[in-house]
Amino acid sequence: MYRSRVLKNYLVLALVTATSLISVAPLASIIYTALVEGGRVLLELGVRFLVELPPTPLSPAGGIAPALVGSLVASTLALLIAVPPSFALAYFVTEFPKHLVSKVCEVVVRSFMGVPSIVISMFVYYVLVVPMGTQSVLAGSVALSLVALPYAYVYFTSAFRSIPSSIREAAMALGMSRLRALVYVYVGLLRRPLTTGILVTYLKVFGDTAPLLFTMGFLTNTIFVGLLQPGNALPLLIFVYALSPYEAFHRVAWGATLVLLAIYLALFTVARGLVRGVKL
Amino acid sequence: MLFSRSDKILFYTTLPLAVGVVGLLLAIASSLLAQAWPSFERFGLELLLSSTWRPSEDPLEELYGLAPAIVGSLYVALLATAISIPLSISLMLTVTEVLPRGLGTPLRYVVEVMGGLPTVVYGLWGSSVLVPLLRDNVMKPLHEYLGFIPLFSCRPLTGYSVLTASLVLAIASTPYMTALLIEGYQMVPSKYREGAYSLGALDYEVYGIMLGILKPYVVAAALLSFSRALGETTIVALTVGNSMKLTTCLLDPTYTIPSLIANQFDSAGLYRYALPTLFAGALILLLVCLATSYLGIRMVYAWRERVYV
Repeated sequence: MYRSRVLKNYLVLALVTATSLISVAPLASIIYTALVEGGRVLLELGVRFLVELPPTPLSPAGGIAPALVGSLVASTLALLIAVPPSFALAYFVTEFPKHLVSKVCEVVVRSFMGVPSIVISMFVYYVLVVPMGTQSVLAGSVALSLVALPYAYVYFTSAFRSIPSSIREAAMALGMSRLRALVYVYVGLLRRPLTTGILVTYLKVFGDTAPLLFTMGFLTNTIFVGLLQPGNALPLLIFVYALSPYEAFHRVAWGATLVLLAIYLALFTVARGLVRGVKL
Repeated sequence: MLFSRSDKILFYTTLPLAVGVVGLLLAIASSLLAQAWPSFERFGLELLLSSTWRPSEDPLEELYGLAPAIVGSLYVALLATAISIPLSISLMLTVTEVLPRGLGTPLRYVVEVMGGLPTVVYGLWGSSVLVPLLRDNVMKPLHEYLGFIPLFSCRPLTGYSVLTASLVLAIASTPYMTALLIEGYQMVPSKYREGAYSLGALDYEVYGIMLGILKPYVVAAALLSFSRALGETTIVALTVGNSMKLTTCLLDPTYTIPSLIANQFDSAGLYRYALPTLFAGALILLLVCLATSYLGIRMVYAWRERVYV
């Protein structure tokens, strides 16, 4: 009886471990394929891959400059739009948790995470792209910022909730107002989790495709023409080129994937180094 | 509850933001409804039941139905969630219990990396690595030997199919679900675990007990993951094959609502009712996603309160 239980125990442990290894194996395959396929393109072109325009379907090679610049600009702008309100909102909700507005806000922002990003893209298309007459980097950034808002909010609220009550009470006992306590005590105390929150939000925004589909445009003939003009982005370029039938485009897509992966892994490692347990 | 003047200022300056967020969600829903209205008015129930996609220069000739996309969405998201439930439970147990700390932490790191990986990377990998692999090694044999089962009765031509899309989607959503489950697992008071071990239970029996306590939470996590899978665009659009076909066969290509929108949006502006139909699809998607994710969050809260007692 006991022996069969022990045997069963080993069997279950082995099964569980094996299933886990199988479910993370795709990451190895993804990185391997990106290194092989993307590495070939990058080795062939070197730095030119980063600074040149994308190829035409029949030209032998080309780069990803517009997408790289567009991604950096749009994600940074989106972060600038999304972080201040979500920071204020998070502080509001954690400081006045019993107020009706806070309760409603908490539910609404959390459900905001459930809004599919393609729906956000259509919404921004309707309220910004149609009135402005053109897709633009600005519209793309706004769409990204709507995706970023709930993420930043969740990070900030959990950071604020982690303030020990002893420190909160000490600040209050010194006669500080909530705003002063935030500026002089909490921000210093929470610098690591807050930085991680911002970094993780940036990562999320940097890799997101669907919000940009109808808002960003698809610029390939110059590198950058301004915020109110169409732009391009790395994930968008990968998506469009992966759907296209041309071999030259697929190669560029893999090269771009390798660049995207490198940026992602570097930023992720920094974020993870600051605080243990990063969740996207 | 407002103490000083400065606190009042803080309250009233951030209040518009809070109201603004609520307004934003309403604005999204109402603008989708406004855009979709012509299509609802023109096609009525046909919109949900028909599976034709007939654009035409003449608005009277136009006819659009979302049935294949709705069925496809549910099919792919359900299948993906069903696949990722056992994977996530195993991963959760491996990270928290089975492996020693020195190995569990790196594995957790890997799971987190996978959770944040841009979805387009999964999509590209799925379409260029998994599609040919599955077509030649899984789908063709399945069709050949088990073709008499309706699920495998259709001939796999390209490899882009419900099966492929669900599989890639499952791989991509497993880390998310695992993270949720780990969070929940760590909330279960350790007395249950310790009690079980002290009664002489072996590891797998303890896991069974812990999973029993965790069961409502697993359902909630699956619901949240399902809601995410429903709205996922990039992965599905790159692997599902994008074909307007109402199908229940696993090896057939189909559409989901997001992939239909992603594919048709650019050309939809040319016809009178195509764009409103896509907006109608987006509205349906939004409502279902909001409902499921709200329900999931509620269930998590309810479970947390019960376990903490």
